[in-house]
Amino acid sequence: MNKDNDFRQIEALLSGRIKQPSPRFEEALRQIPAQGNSSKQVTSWTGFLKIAGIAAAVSLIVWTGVDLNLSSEVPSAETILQSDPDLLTLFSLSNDLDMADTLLSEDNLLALDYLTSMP
Amino acid sequence: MVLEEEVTDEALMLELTNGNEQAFSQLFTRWKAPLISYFYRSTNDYHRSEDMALIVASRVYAARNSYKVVSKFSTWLFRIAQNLLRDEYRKAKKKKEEVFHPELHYEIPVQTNAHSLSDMEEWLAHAIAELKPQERSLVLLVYQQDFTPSEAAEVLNIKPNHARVLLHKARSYLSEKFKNHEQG
Repeated sequence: MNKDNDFRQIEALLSGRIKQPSPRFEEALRQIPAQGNSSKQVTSWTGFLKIAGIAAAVSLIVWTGVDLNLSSEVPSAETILQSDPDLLTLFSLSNDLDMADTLLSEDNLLALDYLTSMP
Repeated sequence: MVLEEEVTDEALMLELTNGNEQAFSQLFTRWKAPLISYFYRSTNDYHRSEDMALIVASRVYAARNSYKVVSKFSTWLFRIAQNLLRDEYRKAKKKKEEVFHPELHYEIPVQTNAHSLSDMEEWLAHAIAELKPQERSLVLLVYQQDFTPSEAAEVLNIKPNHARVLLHKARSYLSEKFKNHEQG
C-alpha cells in the first residue's frame, strides 16, 4: 500500500497508544474473574463493588465512632468529610461506581442472560 | 503454572478455557491499551472507552468456555469490541467533546513543525469523527491496531475487496483534509 507523506503523519498519530489505564479500570479488570465465577450470585461486578463499598462504609462509621443518631448533635456530612480523608475517598469511589453502574447497565443484562442460561 | 511472554493469545485463551485464570490477566495485560485506544479514537470519550474495554473483557471471560480457535484471537476480540461500538453508535447520543490532553494519555511518535501535538490531536479527532462508522473502524483497525485489510474485513464482516475500497477512500479523505489543515 502506497504511503504518501501526508498520511505518514496521520499514521503516526493513529499508532499512539494510551500509556496506562486508570486505577479504577485496573481494579475493575481484576474483579472480572471473581465475579464471573460466582454463578449462583446474579449480581454484576459493579453491584458487588457497591456492596463491598457499603460494607466498608459501615465498618468505617463503626470504627471511627460516628454517631448515627439523627439528632442536632450529629456532625454534618461536610464536617465528617473534611475531618476524614478516608470517607472522602469512599464518597469519590461511590460516585465512580454509580457512573460505572449506569454505563454498564446494558452489559449487566447480557451477563444476567448468560448466568441464567447456565445449566 | 508460569506463563511465558511468547505464548500466543490463542494458547492463553485455551488456558483460560481450561481454568487457568492467570491467562485472563495476561491476555488483558496485552490487550487493554489497544482496546481502550481503539474505543478512545472511536468515541473521543476516555472514561467511556475504559468502560467499554471492561465490557469487552467481561464478555471474553463469559464466553471463555465456548471459545474455539477458528481465527486469530485478536480478530475475535475486536469483533466483540466492534459489536459493542455498533451499539454505541446506534444510541447516537450527542456527547460533549473532551478537552484533549494527549500528553496525559498517549505516547505518540509524531514529529511536526507546523502544529503542536494538541492541535494535531484535535484535528485528528474531528477528522476521524467525520468518517462513516465503517470507514472509521477500518482506519483504526489497520493503522492503529496493525490488522491487515483482510483481517479488518473479517472483524467488520465485509468482503476484503470492499474493505480495501473503503480504506482507500478514507485515506484519500484524511490526506486531503490534512493537506488543507497544513495550508490553512
